[in-house]
Amino acid sequence: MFPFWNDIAAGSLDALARIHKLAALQSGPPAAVAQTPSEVVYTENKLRLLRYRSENRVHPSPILLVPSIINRYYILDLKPGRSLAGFLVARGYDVWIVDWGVPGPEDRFVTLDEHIDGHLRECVGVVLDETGRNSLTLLGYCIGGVLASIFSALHSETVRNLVTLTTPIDFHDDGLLSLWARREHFPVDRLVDAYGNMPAWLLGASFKLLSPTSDLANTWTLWERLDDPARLDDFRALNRWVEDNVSVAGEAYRKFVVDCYQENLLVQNRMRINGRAVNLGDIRAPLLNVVAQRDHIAPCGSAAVLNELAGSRDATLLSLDGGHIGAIVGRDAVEDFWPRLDAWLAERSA
Amino acid sequence: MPQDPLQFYKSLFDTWQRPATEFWDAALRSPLYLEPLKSALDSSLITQKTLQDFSEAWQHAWGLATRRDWEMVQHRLNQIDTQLRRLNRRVDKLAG
Repeated sequence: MFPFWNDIAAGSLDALARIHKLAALQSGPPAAVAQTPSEVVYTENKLRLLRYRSENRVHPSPILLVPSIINRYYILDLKPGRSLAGFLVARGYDVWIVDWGVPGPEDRFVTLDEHIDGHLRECVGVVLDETGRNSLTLLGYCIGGVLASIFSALHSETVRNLVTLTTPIDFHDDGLLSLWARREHFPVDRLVDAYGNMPAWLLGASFKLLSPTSDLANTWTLWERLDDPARLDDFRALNRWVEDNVSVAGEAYRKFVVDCYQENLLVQNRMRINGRAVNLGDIRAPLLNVVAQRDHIAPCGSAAVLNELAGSRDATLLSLDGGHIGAIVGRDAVEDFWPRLDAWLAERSA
Repeated sequence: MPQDPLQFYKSLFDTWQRPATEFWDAALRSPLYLEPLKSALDSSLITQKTLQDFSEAWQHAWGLATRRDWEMVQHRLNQIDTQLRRLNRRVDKLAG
Protein backbone atom coordinates (compact mmCIF):
# COMPACT_ATOMS: atom_id res chain seq x y z
CA MET A 1 0.00 0.00 0.00
CA PHE A 2 2.67 2.51 1.10
CA PRO A 3 4.90 2.13 -1.97
CA PHE A 4 1.91 2.91 -4.21
CA TRP A 5 1.02 6.10 -2.34
CA ASN A 6 4.70 7.05 -2.29
CA ASP A 7 4.74 6.70 -6.11
CA ILE A 8 1.66 8.88 -6.44
CA ALA A 9 3.11 11.53 -4.12
CA ALA A 10 6.49 11.53 -5.88
CA GLY A 11 4.79 11.61 -9.27
CA SER A 12 2.59 14.54 -8.22
CA LEU A 13 5.56 16.56 -6.97
CA ASP A 14 7.44 15.82 -10.18
CA ALA A 15 4.39 16.87 -12.20
CA LEU A 16 4.15 20.16 -10.26
CA ALA A 17 7.82 20.88 -10.91
CA ARG A 18 7.32 20.18 -14.63
CA ILE A 19 4.25 22.41 -14.83
CA HIS A 20 6.32 25.17 -13.25
CA LYS A 21 9.03 24.60 -15.90
CA LEU A 22 6.47 24.59 -18.70
CA ALA A 23 5.01 27.88 -17.48
CA ALA A 24 8.51 29.38 -17.35
CA LEU A 25 9.15 28.22 -20.95
CA GLN A 26 5.86 29.68 -22.14
CA SER A 27 6.60 33.09 -20.66
CA GLY A 28 10.28 33.05 -21.64
CA PRO A 29 11.87 34.06 -24.95
CA PRO A 30 11.20 31.87 -28.03
CA ALA A 31 13.80 29.30 -29.06
CA ALA A 32 16.73 30.82 -30.92
CA VAL A 33 16.76 29.88 -34.62
CA ALA A 34 18.76 30.72 -37.77
CA GLN A 35 22.04 31.21 -35.95
CA THR A 36 24.54 30.30 -38.66
CA PRO A 37 26.39 33.51 -39.63
CA SER A 38 25.16 34.85 -42.94
CA GLU A 39 25.05 38.06 -44.92
CA VAL A 40 22.25 39.55 -46.99
CA VAL A 41 23.62 39.82 -50.52
CA TYR A 42 20.52 40.86 -52.42
CA THR A 43 16.95 41.94 -51.72
CA GLU A 44 13.87 42.62 -53.81
CA ASN A 45 10.37 43.20 -52.48
CA LYS A 46 10.16 40.97 -49.35
CA LEU A 47 12.79 38.49 -50.59
CA ARG A 48 16.31 38.31 -49.17
CA LEU A 49 19.15 36.28 -50.60
CA LEU A 50 21.50 35.13 -47.83
CA ARG A 51 25.03 33.80 -48.19
CA TYR A 52 26.71 31.51 -45.67
CA ARG A 53 30.41 31.83 -46.34
CA SER A 54 32.57 28.80 -45.70
CA GLU A 55 36.01 29.47 -44.21
CA ASN A 56 37.37 26.25 -45.62
CA ARG A 57 35.70 26.05 -48.98
CA VAL A 58 36.44 22.76 -50.68
CA HIS A 59 33.75 22.64 -53.35
CA PRO A 60 33.72 25.53 -55.83
CA SER A 61 30.19 24.97 -57.12
CA PRO A 62 27.70 27.03 -55.05
CA ILE A 63 24.50 25.60 -53.56
CA LEU A 64 21.28 27.59 -53.51
CA LEU A 65 18.74 26.36 -50.94
CA VAL A 66 15.13 27.01 -51.91
CA PRO A 67 12.68 26.65 -49.01
CA SER A 68 8.91 26.49 -49.26
CA ILE A 69 6.88 29.66 -49.75
CA ILE A 70 4.37 28.69 -47.05
CA ASN A 71 6.88 28.51 -44.16
CA ARG A 72 9.92 30.44 -43.02
CA TYR A 73 13.30 29.69 -44.56
CA TYR A 74 15.00 28.81 -41.28
CA ILE A 75 13.88 25.17 -41.33
CA LEU A 76 17.11 24.74 -43.30
CA ASP A 77 19.07 26.67 -40.65
CA LEU A 78 17.18 25.65 -37.56
CA LYS A 79 19.79 25.84 -34.78
CA PRO A 80 23.42 24.90 -34.22
CA GLY A 81 23.78 21.17 -34.74
CA ARG A 82 20.45 21.01 -36.56
CA SER A 83 21.22 23.38 -39.40
CA LEU A 84 21.49 21.87 -42.88
CA ALA A 85 22.98 25.15 -44.11
CA GLY A 86 25.53 25.10 -41.25
CA PHE A 87 26.39 21.46 -41.98
CA LEU A 88 27.03 22.16 -45.67
CA VAL A 89 29.15 25.21 -44.80
CA ALA A 90 31.22 23.09 -42.42
CA ARG A 91 31.72 20.55 -45.22
CA GLY A 92 33.21 23.24 -47.42
CA TYR A 93 30.30 24.33 -49.62
CA ASP A 94 29.43 27.88 -50.61
CA VAL A 95 25.81 27.97 -49.40
CA TRP A 96 23.12 30.48 -50.31
CA ILE A 97 19.47 30.53 -49.30
CA VAL A 98 16.34 32.26 -50.53
CA ASP A 99 14.33 33.84 -47.72
CA TRP A 100 10.99 34.49 -49.41
CA GLY A 101 9.98 36.84 -46.59
CA VAL A 102 6.46 37.51 -45.39
CA PRO A 103 4.05 38.77 -48.08
CA GLY A 104 2.08 41.91 -47.30
CA PRO A 105 -1.53 42.50 -48.42
CA GLU A 106 -0.22 44.22 -51.58
CA ASP A 107 1.55 41.00 -52.62
CA ARG A 108 -1.78 39.35 -53.41
CA PHE A 109 -1.01 40.15 -57.05
CA VAL A 110 2.39 38.37 -57.09
CA THR A 111 2.18 35.31 -59.32
CA LEU A 112 3.82 31.91 -59.26
CA ASP A 113 5.44 32.83 -62.58
CA GLU A 114 7.07 35.82 -60.86
CA HIS A 115 8.31 33.62 -57.99
CA ILE A 116 9.96 31.16 -60.40
CA ASP A 117 10.90 33.14 -63.50
CA GLY A 118 11.45 36.41 -61.63
CA HIS A 119 12.61 36.13 -58.02
CA LEU A 120 14.25 32.70 -58.19
CA ARG A 121 15.82 33.42 -61.57
CA GLU A 122 17.27 36.67 -60.26
CA CYS A 123 18.66 34.92 -57.17
CA VAL A 124 20.34 32.32 -59.39
CA GLY A 125 21.79 35.17 -61.46
CA VAL A 126 23.18 36.90 -58.35
CA VAL A 127 24.77 33.67 -57.08
CA LEU A 128 26.39 32.97 -60.46
CA ASP A 129 27.63 36.56 -60.82
CA GLU A 130 29.03 36.70 -57.30
CA THR A 131 30.80 33.35 -57.56
CA GLY A 132 31.92 33.66 -61.18
CA ARG A 133 30.44 30.25 -62.00
CA ASN A 134 28.07 29.39 -64.83
CA SER A 135 25.97 26.82 -62.97
CA LEU A 136 24.95 25.94 -59.41
CA THR A 137 23.32 23.26 -57.31
CA LEU A 138 19.65 23.88 -56.53
CA LEU A 139 18.33 22.24 -53.37
CA GLY A 140 14.59 22.64 -52.81
CA TYR A 141 12.53 21.60 -49.81
CA CYS A 142 8.80 20.80 -50.13
CA ILE A 143 7.16 23.47 -52.35
CA GLY A 144 10.64 24.94 -52.73
CA GLY A 145 11.49 21.65 -54.45
CA VAL A 146 8.58 22.16 -56.85
CA LEU A 147 9.86 25.64 -57.68
CA ALA A 148 13.42 24.33 -58.07
CA SER A 149 12.25 21.48 -60.34
CA ILE A 150 10.25 23.83 -62.56
CA PHE A 151 13.18 26.25 -62.70
CA SER A 152 15.55 23.40 -63.61
CA ALA A 153 13.23 22.37 -66.44
CA LEU A 154 13.00 25.93 -67.78
CA HIS A 155 16.64 26.94 -67.28
CA SER A 156 18.57 23.69 -67.32
CA GLU A 157 21.77 25.42 -68.51
CA THR A 158 22.26 27.12 -65.13
CA VAL A 159 21.58 24.07 -62.94
CA ARG A 160 24.53 21.80 -62.25
CA ASN A 161 22.73 19.51 -59.78
CA LEU A 162 19.16 19.33 -58.54
CA VAL A 163 18.31 18.06 -55.06
CA THR A 164 14.64 17.79 -54.11
CA LEU A 165 13.67 17.10 -50.50
CA THR A 166 10.18 15.69 -49.85
CA THR A 167 8.82 17.42 -52.93
CA PRO A 168 5.33 16.61 -54.23
CA ILE A 169 5.22 16.22 -58.03
CA ASP A 170 2.18 14.01 -58.68
CA PHE A 171 -0.48 15.83 -56.70
CA HIS A 172 -3.25 13.29 -57.18
CA ASP A 173 -2.12 10.92 -54.46
CA ASP A 174 -4.01 9.23 -51.65
CA GLY A 175 -3.08 11.85 -49.04
CA LEU A 176 -5.59 13.98 -47.17
CA LEU A 177 -4.11 17.21 -48.50
CA SER A 178 -4.61 16.04 -52.08
CA LEU A 179 -8.23 15.12 -51.34
CA TRP A 180 -9.05 18.39 -49.57
CA ALA A 181 -7.51 20.53 -52.31
CA ARG A 182 -9.57 19.01 -55.15
CA ARG A 183 -11.88 21.34 -57.04
CA GLU A 184 -15.02 19.70 -55.62
CA HIS A 185 -13.87 20.35 -52.04
CA PHE A 186 -11.84 23.54 -52.08
CA PRO A 187 -13.10 26.85 -53.57
CA VAL A 188 -9.65 28.36 -54.05
CA ASP A 189 -10.88 31.13 -56.39
CA ARG A 190 -13.45 32.34 -53.88
CA LEU A 191 -10.87 32.18 -51.09
CA VAL A 192 -8.26 34.24 -52.94
CA ASP A 193 -10.89 36.71 -54.17
CA ALA A 194 -12.15 37.20 -50.61
CA TYR A 195 -8.89 37.20 -48.64
CA GLY A 196 -6.30 38.40 -51.16
CA ASN A 197 -3.47 36.29 -49.80
CA MET A 198 -3.95 32.78 -48.44
CA PRO A 199 -3.92 33.65 -44.72
CA ALA A 200 -1.22 32.08 -42.54
CA TRP A 201 -3.76 31.19 -39.84
CA LEU A 202 -5.85 29.19 -42.32
CA LEU A 203 -2.80 27.35 -43.63
CA GLY A 204 -1.69 26.59 -40.08
CA ALA A 205 -5.16 25.34 -39.10
CA SER A 206 -5.33 23.11 -42.20
CA PHE A 207 -1.97 21.51 -41.46
CA LYS A 208 -2.96 20.92 -37.84
CA LEU A 209 -6.17 19.26 -39.01
CA LEU A 210 -4.15 16.86 -41.17
CA SER A 211 -2.99 15.29 -37.95
CA PRO A 212 -5.49 16.20 -35.20
CA THR A 213 -3.75 14.24 -32.44
CA SER A 214 -0.35 15.79 -33.06
CA ASP A 215 -0.82 18.70 -30.66
CA LEU A 216 -1.51 16.29 -27.81
CA ALA A 217 1.44 14.13 -28.84
CA ASN A 218 3.66 17.22 -29.00
CA THR A 219 2.59 18.28 -25.53
CA TRP A 220 3.53 14.87 -24.25
CA THR A 221 6.89 15.01 -26.04
CA LEU A 222 7.56 18.42 -24.50
CA TRP A 223 6.65 17.04 -21.09
CA GLU A 224 9.07 14.14 -21.50
CA ARG A 225 11.93 16.33 -22.70
CA LEU A 226 11.73 18.86 -19.90
CA ASP A 227 14.70 17.21 -18.13
CA ASP A 228 16.87 17.05 -21.23
CA PRO A 229 17.91 20.62 -22.17
CA ALA A 230 19.43 19.69 -25.56
CA ARG A 231 16.43 17.75 -26.81
CA LEU A 232 14.06 20.29 -25.28
CA ASP A 233 15.80 23.03 -27.24
CA ASP A 234 15.54 20.97 -30.45
CA PHE A 235 11.85 20.50 -29.85
CA ARG A 236 11.19 24.17 -29.12
CA ALA A 237 13.11 25.33 -32.20
CA LEU A 238 11.25 22.94 -34.48
CA ASN A 239 7.92 23.79 -32.87
CA ARG A 240 8.60 27.49 -33.36
CA TRP A 241 9.06 26.85 -37.08
CA VAL A 242 5.95 24.66 -37.33
CA GLU A 243 3.85 27.44 -35.77
CA ASP A 244 5.48 30.12 -37.93
CA ASN A 245 3.39 29.81 -41.10
CA VAL A 246 3.35 32.76 -43.44
CA SER A 247 0.61 33.98 -45.75
CA VAL A 248 1.05 33.05 -49.40
CA ALA A 249 0.75 35.59 -52.20
CA GLY A 250 -2.82 35.15 -53.47
CA GLU A 251 -2.29 34.76 -57.21
CA ALA A 252 0.70 32.46 -56.67
CA TYR A 253 -1.38 30.33 -54.32
CA ARG A 254 -4.31 30.22 -56.76
CA LYS A 255 -2.12 29.00 -59.62
CA PHE A 256 -0.30 26.49 -57.43
CA VAL A 257 -3.53 24.93 -56.15
CA VAL A 258 -5.32 24.94 -59.52
CA ASP A 259 -2.42 23.80 -61.71
CA CYS A 260 -0.89 21.33 -59.28
CA TYR A 261 -3.50 20.04 -56.81
CA GLN A 262 -6.62 20.38 -58.93
CA GLU A 263 -5.49 19.85 -62.54
CA ASN A 264 -2.25 17.99 -61.74
CA LEU A 265 -0.61 19.66 -64.74
CA LEU A 266 3.02 19.41 -63.58
CA VAL A 267 3.18 15.64 -63.77
CA GLN A 268 1.57 15.75 -67.25
CA ASN A 269 4.13 18.32 -68.48
CA ARG A 270 1.22 20.70 -69.19
CA MET A 271 1.92 23.43 -66.64
CA ARG A 272 2.91 26.80 -68.12
CA ILE A 273 5.13 29.49 -66.61
CA ASN A 274 5.20 32.82 -68.40
CA GLY A 275 3.66 31.09 -71.41
CA ARG A 276 6.33 28.37 -71.57
CA ALA A 277 5.36 24.74 -71.06
CA VAL A 278 7.19 23.07 -68.18
CA ASN A 279 8.51 19.73 -69.36
CA LEU A 280 10.15 17.88 -66.50
CA GLY A 281 12.01 15.86 -69.13
CA ASP A 282 14.04 19.02 -69.74
CA ILE A 283 15.71 18.58 -66.34
CA ARG A 284 19.19 17.44 -67.42
CA ALA A 285 21.17 17.99 -64.23
CA PRO A 286 22.08 15.08 -61.95
CA LEU A 287 19.11 14.56 -59.65
CA LEU A 288 18.94 13.48 -56.02
CA ASN A 289 15.31 13.02 -55.06
CA VAL A 290 14.78 12.45 -51.34
CA VAL A 291 11.45 11.00 -50.20
CA ALA A 292 10.19 10.18 -46.72
CA GLN A 293 8.32 6.95 -46.09
CA ARG A 294 5.89 8.44 -43.54
CA ASP A 295 5.35 11.77 -45.27
CA HIS A 296 1.68 12.84 -45.09
CA ILE A 297 2.26 16.11 -46.98
CA ALA A 298 4.28 14.84 -49.95
CA PRO A 299 3.59 11.09 -49.90
CA CYS A 300 6.39 8.83 -51.14
CA GLY A 301 4.78 7.99 -54.48
CA SER A 302 3.90 11.61 -55.18
CA ALA A 303 7.54 12.64 -54.74
CA ALA A 304 9.32 9.59 -56.20
CA VAL A 305 7.72 10.03 -59.63
CA LEU A 306 10.19 12.83 -60.44
CA ASN A 307 12.89 10.22 -61.08
CA GLU A 308 10.77 8.75 -63.88
CA LEU A 309 9.90 12.11 -65.42
CA ALA A 310 13.19 13.99 -65.23
CA GLY A 311 15.53 13.75 -68.20
CA SER A 312 18.58 13.36 -65.94
CA ARG A 313 20.87 10.49 -66.83
CA ASP A 314 22.21 10.52 -63.29
CA ALA A 315 19.09 10.23 -61.09
CA THR A 316 19.15 8.91 -57.53
CA LEU A 317 16.12 8.17 -55.38
CA LEU A 318 16.81 8.19 -51.66
CA SER A 319 14.02 6.88 -49.46
CA LEU A 320 14.29 7.80 -45.78
CA ASP A 321 12.43 6.59 -42.74
CA GLY A 322 10.44 9.41 -41.11
CA GLY A 323 7.96 12.14 -41.87
CA HIS A 324 7.96 15.32 -43.94
CA ILE A 325 10.10 17.28 -41.51
CA GLY A 326 11.83 14.68 -39.33
CA ALA A 327 13.37 12.84 -42.27
CA ILE A 328 15.07 16.04 -43.44
CA VAL A 329 16.07 17.87 -40.25
CA GLY A 330 15.44 15.34 -37.46
CA ARG A 331 18.10 13.83 -35.23
CA ASP A 332 18.45 10.78 -37.50
CA ALA A 333 18.79 13.02 -40.55
CA VAL A 334 21.81 14.75 -39.01
CA GLU A 335 23.57 11.44 -38.46
CA ASP A 336 22.49 9.54 -41.58
CA PHE A 337 20.92 11.64 -44.34
CA TRP A 338 23.14 14.72 -44.22
CA PRO A 339 26.42 12.78 -44.64
CA ARG A 340 24.85 10.88 -47.58
CA LEU A 341 23.77 14.18 -49.11
CA ASP A 342 27.31 15.48 -48.66
CA ALA A 343 28.77 12.39 -50.34
CA TRP A 344 26.38 12.73 -53.30
CA LEU A 345 27.09 16.46 -53.68
CA ALA A 346 30.87 16.14 -53.24
CA GLU A 347 31.10 13.81 -56.24
CA ARG A 348 29.24 16.33 -58.38
CA SER A 349 30.43 19.72 -57.15
CA ALA A 350 33.99 19.93 -58.48
CA MET B 1 0.40 -0.93 -9.68
CA PRO B 2 2.89 0.85 -11.98
CA GLN B 3 6.10 2.12 -10.42
CA ASP B 4 5.99 5.32 -12.47
CA PRO B 5 2.51 6.81 -12.91
CA LEU B 6 3.70 9.02 -15.80
CA GLN B 7 4.86 6.00 -17.77
CA PHE B 8 1.50 4.41 -17.09
CA TYR B 9 -0.31 7.43 -18.55
CA LYS B 10 2.13 7.45 -21.45
CA SER B 11 1.35 3.86 -22.32
CA LEU B 12 -2.38 4.66 -22.13
CA PHE B 13 -1.83 7.65 -24.42
CA ASP B 14 0.14 5.59 -26.95
CA THR B 15 -2.58 2.94 -26.94
CA TRP B 16 -5.21 5.61 -27.55
CA GLN B 17 -3.32 7.58 -30.20
CA ARG B 18 -3.15 4.96 -32.98
CA PRO B 19 -6.90 4.22 -33.21
CA ALA B 20 -7.67 7.92 -32.66
CA THR B 21 -5.45 8.84 -35.63
CA GLU B 22 -7.09 6.18 -37.80
CA PHE B 23 -10.53 7.38 -36.76
CA TRP B 24 -9.73 11.03 -37.58
CA ASP B 25 -8.17 10.09 -40.92
CA ALA B 26 -11.35 8.23 -41.94
CA ALA B 27 -13.59 11.00 -40.58
CA LEU B 28 -11.70 13.76 -42.38
CA ARG B 29 -12.05 11.91 -45.70
CA SER B 30 -15.75 11.30 -45.25
CA PRO B 31 -18.30 13.16 -47.42
CA LEU B 32 -20.19 13.71 -44.16
CA TYR B 33 -17.35 16.04 -43.18
CA LEU B 34 -16.19 17.36 -46.55
CA GLU B 35 -19.53 18.42 -48.01
CA PRO B 36 -20.74 20.55 -45.06
CA LEU B 37 -17.24 22.03 -44.76
CA LYS B 38 -17.28 23.06 -48.43
CA SER B 39 -20.77 24.56 -48.03
CA ALA B 40 -19.78 26.48 -44.90
CA LEU B 41 -16.58 27.76 -46.52
CA ASP B 42 -18.46 28.76 -49.69
CA SER B 43 -21.13 30.65 -47.74
CA SER B 44 -18.61 32.47 -45.58
CA LEU B 45 -16.44 33.47 -48.57
CA ILE B 46 -19.42 34.59 -50.67
CA THR B 47 -20.68 36.71 -47.77
CA GLN B 48 -17.25 38.23 -47.19
CA LYS B 49 -16.78 39.03 -50.90
CA THR B 50 -20.28 40.51 -51.21
CA LEU B 51 -19.63 42.82 -48.25
CA GLN B 52 -16.26 43.82 -49.71
CA ASP B 53 -17.79 44.54 -53.12
CA PHE B 54 -20.54 46.61 -51.52
CA SER B 55 -18.02 48.57 -49.45
CA GLU B 56 -15.80 49.18 -52.50
CA ALA B 57 -18.73 50.30 -54.62
CA TRP B 58 -19.72 52.76 -51.89
CA GLN B 59 -16.17 54.10 -51.61
CA HIS B 60 -15.86 54.46 -55.39
CA ALA B 61 -19.19 56.30 -55.49
CA TRP B 62 -17.67 58.88 -53.14
CA GLY B 63 -14.49 59.06 -55.20
CA LEU B 64 -12.44 57.37 -52.50
CA ALA B 65 -9.63 54.88 -53.06
CA THR B 66 -10.44 51.40 -51.84
CA ARG B 67 -8.14 49.06 -49.98
CA ARG B 68 -7.69 47.12 -53.21
CA ASP B 69 -6.66 50.32 -55.01
CA TRP B 70 -4.02 50.99 -52.37
CA GLU B 71 -2.79 47.42 -52.59
CA MET B 72 -2.49 47.67 -56.37
CA VAL B 73 -0.56 50.96 -56.13
CA GLN B 74 1.81 49.47 -53.54
CA HIS B 75 2.23 46.38 -55.71
CA ARG B 76 3.09 48.51 -58.76
CA LEU B 77 5.62 50.46 -56.69
CA ASN B 78 7.18 47.20 -55.51
CA GLN B 79 7.37 46.01 -59.11
CA ILE B 80 9.12 49.22 -60.19
CA ASP B 81 11.52 48.96 -57.25
CA THR B 82 12.29 45.34 -58.15
CA GLN B 83 12.91 46.23 -61.81
CA LEU B 84 15.22 49.06 -60.78
CA ARG B 85 17.22 46.73 -58.52
CA ARG B 86 17.56 44.18 -61.31
CA LEU B 87 18.57 46.88 -63.78
CA ASN B 88 21.06 48.32 -61.31
CA ARG B 89 22.62 44.89 -60.85
CA ARG B 90 23.00 44.45 -64.60
CA VAL B 91 24.58 47.90 -64.96
CA ASP B 92 27.01 47.09 -62.14
CA LYS B 93 27.85 43.82 -63.88
CA LEU B 94 28.49 45.55 -67.21
CA ALA B 95 30.61 48.19 -65.48
CA GLY B 96 32.74 45.36 -64.11
